[in-house]
Amino acid sequence: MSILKEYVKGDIKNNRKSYNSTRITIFLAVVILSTFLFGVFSYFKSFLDMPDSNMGGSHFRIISEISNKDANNLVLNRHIDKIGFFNTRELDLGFGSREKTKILNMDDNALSTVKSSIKEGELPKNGQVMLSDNMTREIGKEIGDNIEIEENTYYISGIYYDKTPEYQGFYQIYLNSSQDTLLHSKQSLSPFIWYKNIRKTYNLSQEIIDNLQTKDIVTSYNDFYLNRSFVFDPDKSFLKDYISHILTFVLFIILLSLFYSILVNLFLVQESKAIVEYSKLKSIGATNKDISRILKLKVSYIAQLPIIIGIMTSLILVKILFLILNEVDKYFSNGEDIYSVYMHLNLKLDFKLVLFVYILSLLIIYISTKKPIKKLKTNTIIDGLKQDIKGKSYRKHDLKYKGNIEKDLSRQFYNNSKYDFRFTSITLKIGFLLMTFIMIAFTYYSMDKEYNSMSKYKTYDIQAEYVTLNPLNKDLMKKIKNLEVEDLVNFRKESVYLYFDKNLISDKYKNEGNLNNLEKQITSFDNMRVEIFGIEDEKFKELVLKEGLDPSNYVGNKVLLLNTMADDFDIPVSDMKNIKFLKDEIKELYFSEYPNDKDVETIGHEFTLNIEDKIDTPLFDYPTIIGGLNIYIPKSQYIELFNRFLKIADLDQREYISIKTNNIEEIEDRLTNNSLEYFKLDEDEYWPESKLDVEMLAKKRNIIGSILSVFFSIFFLIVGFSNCYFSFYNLFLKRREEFLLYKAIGMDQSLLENILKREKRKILFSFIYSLPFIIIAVTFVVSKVSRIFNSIDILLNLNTLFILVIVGYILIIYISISKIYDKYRKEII
Amino acid sequence: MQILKIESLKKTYREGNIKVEALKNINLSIERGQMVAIMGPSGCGKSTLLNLISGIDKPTSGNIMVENSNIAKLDENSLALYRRRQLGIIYQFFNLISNLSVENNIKLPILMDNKEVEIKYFEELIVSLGIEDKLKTFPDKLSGGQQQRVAIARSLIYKPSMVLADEPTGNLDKENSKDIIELFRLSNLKYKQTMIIVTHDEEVALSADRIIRMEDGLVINDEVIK
Repeated sequence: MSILKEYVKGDIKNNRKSYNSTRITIFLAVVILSTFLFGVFSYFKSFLDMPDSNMGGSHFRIISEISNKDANNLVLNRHIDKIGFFNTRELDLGFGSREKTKILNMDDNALSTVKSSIKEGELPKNGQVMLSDNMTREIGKEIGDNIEIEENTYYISGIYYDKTPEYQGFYQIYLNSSQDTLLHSKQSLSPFIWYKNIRKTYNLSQEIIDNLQTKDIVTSYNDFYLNRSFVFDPDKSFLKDYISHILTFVLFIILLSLFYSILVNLFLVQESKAIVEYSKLKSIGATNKDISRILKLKVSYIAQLPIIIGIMTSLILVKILFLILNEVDKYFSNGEDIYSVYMHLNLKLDFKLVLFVYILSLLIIYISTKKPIKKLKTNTIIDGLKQDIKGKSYRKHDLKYKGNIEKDLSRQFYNNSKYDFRFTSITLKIGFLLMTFIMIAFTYYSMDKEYNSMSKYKTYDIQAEYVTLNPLNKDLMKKIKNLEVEDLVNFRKESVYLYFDKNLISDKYKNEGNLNNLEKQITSFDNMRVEIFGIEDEKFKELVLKEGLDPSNYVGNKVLLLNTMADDFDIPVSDMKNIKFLKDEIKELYFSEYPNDKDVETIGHEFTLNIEDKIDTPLFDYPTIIGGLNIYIPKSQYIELFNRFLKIADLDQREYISIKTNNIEEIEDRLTNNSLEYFKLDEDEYWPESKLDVEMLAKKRNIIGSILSVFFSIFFLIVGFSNCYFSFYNLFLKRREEFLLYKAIGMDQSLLENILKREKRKILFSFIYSLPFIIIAVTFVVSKVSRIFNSIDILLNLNTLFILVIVGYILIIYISISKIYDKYRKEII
Repeated sequence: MQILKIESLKKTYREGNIKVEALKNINLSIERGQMVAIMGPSGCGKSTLLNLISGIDKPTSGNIMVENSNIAKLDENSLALYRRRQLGIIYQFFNLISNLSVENNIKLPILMDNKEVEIKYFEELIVSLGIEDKLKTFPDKLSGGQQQRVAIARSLIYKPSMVLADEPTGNLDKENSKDIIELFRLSNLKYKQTMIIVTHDEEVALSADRIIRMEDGLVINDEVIK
């Protein structure tokens, strides 16, 4: 209706100052909401872009090969958007140091799943191949060259990062074969599947599995991708397995409600100011619908720009935040992250999401007008013309005079406005609660690193891992020993499973009531893990002698057992007490290669070890497994033992070196140079790590945690300020008449000022008093959920940043309340 | 022919446990085209009566029949439309919309109905009220007398059958008051509109066809002026 538009335009033009503050508030609310959404969305998307994690965004794959007929049927499945096929052929043809070759015949779609592993060049087109970096280095080929395989010549289009251990004995070659060729080849095939509707992945995949003619297939869901796309496995417990998603969702809902509450308060203030105008309109025939239209029109005029600028600002904010986080990550990781999969956070601009944020913001703004509209509807024209805003009628508290009029009147004022205070107070407390939760979560995270993980670096400053089937070369060992290190331990280790019987357990352990704790920790005694350390013979001898034992006894299957087990698993690792576990008379233990599990077809190789001696402290300072047993034997014995295993390649074939030195940086560099020179391994097969690296990592985590904490805190400070300011402004408008009346009947300036001062103090302190309770409650909940740390531990470890944030929050609330009480002073007193 | 008939009209306000009877059983009828003045001391209930007739307040009991329709029984929306189309209302404090120009303030009731304003009538109205050069001005730039003229123009724009005025000259000087009353009379004669004017001013009342005097929520005198 054009006249309503005219009215709204005139109103906005004539009250520019007031509407500018409305625009700023809407802008801030949009920034908060959209920064959260863009941040979370980009964070999840960045995960999807991590190398090795997205598998081309495929949803489901059948790892084992299915018959060609099944494959052809799958192509006809109307729910499938895209399908990729491949099969593997092993050739008795060697390249470089490898004796065999595996050809992976893949169509374009299947090849797209390995895109993230490309080092140089591009994925092969039909008839082209992609080789590994190690292979091209060894055979002296590069991109653009041709390679002959079984009398066929192929063009090399790309080189990929080789992640296969050298002991596997073959190189993999990716060969592009068209889908038609694969489907007509009559060969069995392995499919990658992309569904039209990703949400139906689990149901449709189960349907496919049920309808296949090929039986005993092995399948895999792209869990990582599906999780981050908010598609959840129906067989998993939502609460347990998707807790981060739930927390994100809860945070989102709370932010939405805070967004809503800021805007409701804002519109209540704004419309209360315009109540006379609306009443005039109503008196000459404007309907409630017209008033509601005016309000909506007004909102759509004033909200557009702040929403758009808010969205743009939040995109810039997320970009800056990610830039800072990436820079911190890069700085502390020395350019490469060797401890965890490297993730580069990047702002993902998705038009659909931007549109969603825009519509959501507009929707909340419209919903926020409902309350003021209702208020305007219910207010009578007569009251409105007198600028009298009628609220809900609550029980009124009369003045109880107890001898101090200031005190008694301020109490009466406070009591009569209790409902409004309560609403404001709840929103403020929710904001504080969220902030506390984030702070406690970060505190918990740093505590977990500090107290709940076993440091590998108490004695030894450098640890190195080598992926190798064979013991480290003697020359290399000699070189490493010559590095002027204070101490060096070289070992291999492997996990096996113990045939367990509760009768093996010592009475001491049983009597102290730790059995239940242990059973909870390991799920079942049937699958108790045992780690076997094969320590270099000379070193083993030296360490055993230190224990006062005879090293010559450890021959054949005779081993040294670390016979302790933690007493309680619901406490930080650093607090665990180790108690004698097996009975003294136990001399023989039985093991299997795999756990005795109904889901596993075989338990693999079975063997017996004789316990020659038992000790109650680790033989050398290296983390031992918690909730399992640890055994030490000389390396020569270890190799002999594991050589008997049939499926040796399934085992964790690694060599370890622990070095004690005062010159960490230099020794680490020299160790790396020596290792790469002697073994010519690529970076994936040699992993050095030192105390310094870990300290840097801890520093990095702390800084990232602090940046995020500060970022979130600023959010909540803004929310707290806006909420507080507008709700108190609203209250001010409601009570203005009453105060003016008091003034009219002779209440003097100092009396009014004192009443307001008292009220202000009361509101502020009632908020401050509640803060410790909120902190304690959140700490209690976190400690109960985590079970590891108790509330006191968490409280004692709260960092100074948190204290600053609390002070900041109180200050911001104080400022916003003070601003309103200044208004009372200016306009009334 | 009756345009307004009020039967057993009562209005009681409650303030906690205290009951205030603003109108006690009013019975009244007004003929079409009559110019009626309602007089009485402050608090006698005359403004309450006007508020009830205009539908911005609800009676406690009784009927208010306006052209055979009982407005005491209408819902909020119908009351708004009644005020917009059948009534012209003029207040002591003018109640002009500050964000709209004089022109839009006058046209507002018709524009709210998305209807075209009859240009000839509009021009006639503004010329007769002497505000033709103030159309683009905003209300806050006008004098009290000018604002009241705009309010009158607004009340007449829909050619309502009845015009209610609550102390229309209460905020004006003598000269302006005289002009306003003359305008009421002119409009009353020209468009056969019924005028109900609440006033304290004897002079204003004497220009009416009929004076209803109220006291303590009751009509105590109803006289026709010759």
